[in-house]
Amino acid sequence: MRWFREGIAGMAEITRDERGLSYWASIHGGPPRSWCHHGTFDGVEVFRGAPLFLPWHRAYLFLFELALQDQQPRARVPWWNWSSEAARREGLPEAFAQERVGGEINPLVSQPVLRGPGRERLPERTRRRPSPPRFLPPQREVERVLRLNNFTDFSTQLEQIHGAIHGWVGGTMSAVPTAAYDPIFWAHHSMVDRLWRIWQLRNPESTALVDVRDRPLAPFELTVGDVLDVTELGYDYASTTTSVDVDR
Amino acid sequence: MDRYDSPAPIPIPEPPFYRADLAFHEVDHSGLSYEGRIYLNNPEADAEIPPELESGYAGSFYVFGSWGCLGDEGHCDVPSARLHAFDRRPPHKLTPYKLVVEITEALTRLAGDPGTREFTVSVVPIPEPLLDDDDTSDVLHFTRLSLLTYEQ
Repeated sequence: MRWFREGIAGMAEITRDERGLSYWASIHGGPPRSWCHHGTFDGVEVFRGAPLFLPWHRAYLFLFELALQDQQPRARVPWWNWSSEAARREGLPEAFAQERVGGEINPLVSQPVLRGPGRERLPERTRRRPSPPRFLPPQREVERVLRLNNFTDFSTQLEQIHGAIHGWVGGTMSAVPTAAYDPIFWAHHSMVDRLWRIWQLRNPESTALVDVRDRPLAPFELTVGDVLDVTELGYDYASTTTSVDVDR
Repeated sequence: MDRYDSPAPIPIPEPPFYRADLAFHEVDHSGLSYEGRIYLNNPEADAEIPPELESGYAGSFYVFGSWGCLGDEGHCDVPSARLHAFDRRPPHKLTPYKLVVEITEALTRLAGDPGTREFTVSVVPIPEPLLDDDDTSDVLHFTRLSLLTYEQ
């Protein structure tokens, strides 16, 4: 978490160009930028019947992590397992909630929100208003969604859980234009991306999104096909880690 | 609207069905985010009633809203149609969408009661304001509700 914290702090110091946290956060909802793909049917978020919520956010997360690593090469975006027993007991992860770390202000607690013409009413900084931890979705609900073998079904129902988490955190996380300014947004979407990865491993025969492989995920220079396999993007989600000290 | 109550009872489809969905058509997502709690046969349901099967709670949908318009005038007006056949731009970001909520457990419970042949649907929105002075009334907007059941 230290490297992630350092990466976020580094990005937050950049306020005038495309390496900065505010630049990346503002892509999620504008104006002037307004790119994210939410919703499921009948609208912009669907292309030829395929929901783009998951591929668009994977591209966003992947490129954000590269920008993060420009500031701290060892940083990775962690995932917040909001359906774990610990989360449903304690709520927000301590790493994102404790005001100070090592005597310094924790940059994962709050960040400035980009304001300007038309955005004067927005809060100056991100803030949260979390609901009681027991209202976070239980693991059995996540498992139920993971068992859906139709991609559209899976994507739309996972998006609903995702929306519930935005509402659970509350405050600036609950609105599309301000959500991504909160550092926990990235850990939340890392969890969503991880669940899609797990679904993909369980459904290797799925042909979902094949018909829309060439669809660009604006504003990124990536297509749907570019983000289908996380190993092609150079990452994966470890389910366990074990370390052993070596005697020297 | 501040809440939704179906204007007439809906007949309960003949079981068996392995899945039942409620589809909300053309849901507006331009305003505040909110949870839409769905209750069956409980028109008295409100935000204070616990979302439990015993109180008729069937599930929730979650609208991740755009909190109004931050652009210049007209930015958030959804065009009714594309300009012409060569307009390849994607639809407007605020185009209303469809949300589907699985209500199998709650509807199966009602279907199992021999005295119950029809049901009502109530939707109670729980808004999530961004600012303390956000107007939390009138957040719920959709144009049609459909019930879909799937046979065994």
